[in-house]
Amino acid sequence: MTNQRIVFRLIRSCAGAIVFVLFVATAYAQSSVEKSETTQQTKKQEDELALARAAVAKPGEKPDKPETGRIIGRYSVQSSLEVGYRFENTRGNRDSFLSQVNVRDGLRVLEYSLDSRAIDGRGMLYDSLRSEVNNAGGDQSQNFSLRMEKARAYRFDSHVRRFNYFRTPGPNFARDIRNSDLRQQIADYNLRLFPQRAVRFNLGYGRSSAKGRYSPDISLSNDFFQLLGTTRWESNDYRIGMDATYGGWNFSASALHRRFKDDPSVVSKSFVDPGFLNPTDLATLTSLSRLVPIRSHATVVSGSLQGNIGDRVHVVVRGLHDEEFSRGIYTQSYLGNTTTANQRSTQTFDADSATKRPSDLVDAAISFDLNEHFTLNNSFRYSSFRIQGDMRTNQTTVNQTGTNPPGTPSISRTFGDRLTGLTSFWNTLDLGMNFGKKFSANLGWRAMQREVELLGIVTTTNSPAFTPSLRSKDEAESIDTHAFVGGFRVRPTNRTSFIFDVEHGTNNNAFIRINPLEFTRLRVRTQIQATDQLSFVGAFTSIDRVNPTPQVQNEADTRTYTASVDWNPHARVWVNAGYDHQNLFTTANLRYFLGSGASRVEVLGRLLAYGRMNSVFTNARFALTNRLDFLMVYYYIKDLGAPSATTGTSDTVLALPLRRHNPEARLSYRFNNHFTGNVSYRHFSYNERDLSVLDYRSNITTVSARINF
Amino acid sequence: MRIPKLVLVILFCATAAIPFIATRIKANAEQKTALLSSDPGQYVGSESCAECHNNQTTHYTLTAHSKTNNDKYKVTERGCEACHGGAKQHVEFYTSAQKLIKEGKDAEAQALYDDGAKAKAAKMLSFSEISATQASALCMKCHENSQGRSEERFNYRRSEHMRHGVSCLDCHSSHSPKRTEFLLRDSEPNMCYQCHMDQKATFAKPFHHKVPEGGMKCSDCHNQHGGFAAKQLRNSVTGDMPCLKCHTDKQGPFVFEHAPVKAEGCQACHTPHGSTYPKMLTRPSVRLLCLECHSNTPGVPGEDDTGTGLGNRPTHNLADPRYQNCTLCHTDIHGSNKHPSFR
Repeated sequence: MTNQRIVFRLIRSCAGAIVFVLFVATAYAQSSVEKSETTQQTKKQEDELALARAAVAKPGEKPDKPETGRIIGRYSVQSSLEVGYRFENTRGNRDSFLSQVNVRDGLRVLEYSLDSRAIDGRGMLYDSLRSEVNNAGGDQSQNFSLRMEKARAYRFDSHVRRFNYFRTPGPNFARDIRNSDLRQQIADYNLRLFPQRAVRFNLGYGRSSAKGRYSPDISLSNDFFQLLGTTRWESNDYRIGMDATYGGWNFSASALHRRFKDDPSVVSKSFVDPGFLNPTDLATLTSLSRLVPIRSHATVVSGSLQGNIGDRVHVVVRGLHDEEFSRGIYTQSYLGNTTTANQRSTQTFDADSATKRPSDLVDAAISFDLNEHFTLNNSFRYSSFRIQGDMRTNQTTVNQTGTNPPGTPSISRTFGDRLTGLTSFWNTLDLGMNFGKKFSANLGWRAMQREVELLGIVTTTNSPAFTPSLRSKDEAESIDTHAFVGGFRVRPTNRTSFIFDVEHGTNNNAFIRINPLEFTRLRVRTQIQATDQLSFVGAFTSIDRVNPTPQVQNEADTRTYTASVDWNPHARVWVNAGYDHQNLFTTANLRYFLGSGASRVEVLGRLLAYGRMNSVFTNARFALTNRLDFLMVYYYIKDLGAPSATTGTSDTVLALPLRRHNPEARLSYRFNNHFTGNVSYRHFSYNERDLSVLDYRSNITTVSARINF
Repeated sequence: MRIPKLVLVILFCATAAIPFIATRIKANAEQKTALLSSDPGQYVGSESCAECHNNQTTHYTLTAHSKTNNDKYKVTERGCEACHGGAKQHVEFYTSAQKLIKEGKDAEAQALYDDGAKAKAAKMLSFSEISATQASALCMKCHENSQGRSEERFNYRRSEHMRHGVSCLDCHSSHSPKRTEFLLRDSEPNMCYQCHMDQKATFAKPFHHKVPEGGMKCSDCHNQHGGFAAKQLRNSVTGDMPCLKCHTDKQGPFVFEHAPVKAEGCQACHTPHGSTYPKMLTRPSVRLLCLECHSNTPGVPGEDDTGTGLGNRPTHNLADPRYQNCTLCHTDIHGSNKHPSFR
């Protein structure tokens, strides 16, 4: 309750301060509204006479041709290619390193770029073309992009991204035993026909896929086995749409069809039994086959309308309807020995499911310019979905002891029918105030109403017949949220900016119990451009979330302090350095059990989770000579973990104190305008304070050559 | 069908506001002063600008804006004048001055410049002299509609950036961009870090989305031009959280959905930017993350222990290692097609 009172006082003080500042600032701004400028547009007035003299001195001179690279036909072409080799050397837990960094030895196309533009802005095939490649050849994150356009004819965008994931199980299996080694590729291609015209057409194709190894598990006779499986899923999106502009109104309509398939499988005869999972049960698994194909498709149609009513009312309406359907099949069979002496067990399991999800989304927003300083905005969102699915499973188990004949098959069938529904309404009403550069502010009210509904029936029987019965209501929650939002930005001088934001709200209910019944977010940020070469940024963010319900007593507080400096004394030196401190504290009531059977004990305790993170980051570039360039980067993170504090006997303190260094240095030597040699060194050092088995130290050296052509 | 009170309140307010808005529109229509002249006679073409503003023109020819400089566009939407307004008076004024200088009459030229009324009439619109709102409104004149991508900038007027006085020109430079693509002043995420510096530290954590590596951009998940969702988040193509744009395998639909995933969003369990905990979870221990919700809470799971669809509250022996990682058995934690407890 003490915390609540503090929060209330804080809110009251903040709200009072905002209202006061708004009134004072509004009065001030009204009395001295001045011509303002955007932050990055400050510049000295040109000497008009000198300008005129210069123009007269060079009568009729046309602009110089810009630096455009090679001229090929009617196009200027600039391109560069950086190719290099990475040498990686890791000591300690390499799996942990791969989980976090995942950089390995090998040849890389570190960067490639091609920029081609029509000299006079109008080319035959294209006006401009840009292609980029980053980190191709095996790094954890690779990019390929191509963008080309011809004014009023077409614009084509494509972007392909590849991610290599490696997740280690680690010795602390409570974090995650199921490691995986996945490659994911996300590709997106968009073609817009007749851009800049009144009617435009859009065609698109997106493909997202992943494949690799993963480690699921299975429980046999209360023992666990880690399996090695392969997974492969892919999603294909086909899009078509049209935009039009008529009478100052913009219309947009689009349709999408998605097909998704997922084919994870485990077919193996070798199994890992991590003994620590259940050292007393010694079941064995002889063979297993598991196939879990899923097929789904979605059809989405959407439309939008945007325009002005008169000069002062701006309206946007958008709607989306989505129909999704999914079908899943699960087939598994295994053979193994149970913990019962000399007993073999064979089991087949299959499941069949079908799910559909219709959903709707409607957005509407309106802005009304009361005058040149005040704007009234209202945004509204309605969203709804109902996920309705049913499934049935069949499980047949046959046990055989010794040389006896197989026992009677044990058959178990499950029928399930489930509905998950959500309907939500959001509305944000706010008043925006803008008085040029000096002052802008907003005050608003956000309201939300959500209805969550869970209905279902799951019946297990050994009868082949299923008698449908009514679904029972498992849970139905109605949550109303009301929040006050406000903030302002003050620029006392051309070089100083101060931003303040606050949001305070209440929920009358919580769907998941870590959701707060009260929440407050406060943010302060300041930017100071001390000189043309030196600037500072400071920020403070505070988030408080409280759910004081007796069973829950959840409280989560976050405080973040950031300060950074940017120093660019001249073109040859640039330094950016910063410090960030993040303090997280969460407490929640816990209820769990220790022991089993008659010795089972219920524990009513409290979770105390801490994070006390200190981060330092530095980026610096020094052009040592006209040819020699030095880049230095350093990131340091230290989580201090939990503070020393007296805790109750049933309290669980949760923290992960650790330290991570990541320095990097890169030296570049420009031999001539076309060729640059680079060598870089990067070091990673990861240390957990309480458990050293995941620690690693890694050195990555990259030698590369850059060619501009 | 029961209509929620909130909708009724909104409808009532909207209805009540219509006469007021209509009155204001009428009353204010005449008061509005356009920043740019709509008279085509005031427009002389960008070639005239190049005579004096050589440097700006040089850079401008490389940018996408230069493609407006042709007869497919209205004269009020072409080249330099599309943003800076008609230059007729400006050109006449300065041509006169130049003529005087050519004739060696510098003093007369200076006198002409000192003539406040004439100089004011000849002044072009400078973006350094108008507010962020006005500057952005001028950009939106073209970029809100046919020049823009579908719906991308429809909500700019209500965006967080706009609310905080951030104009288009804070991120884009029409004359001398660092990146020719979208005329950006800097590449992402460095440009975003200029204000959102705290996120730089977050993305440096051991487990993070691949923003520093260049695999992702801030604008993949956030619509910097303003969206309808909180934090300017984009939606996936199906109207869901943007996470599902890439993590398509979590989309489902599943027979048994882990309801918080769809009702509250992925951030109920994950920290989206970066974390020191594996899988960007909000806690270093899976079981404690789960227990924070699945502990002694009426309705979670089930209103009581007899809830049929959701299974009972966890009664496992948490001293036993095999029960210390919930996702060991509850493998399909985002949603399952075969078991209500996501096994």
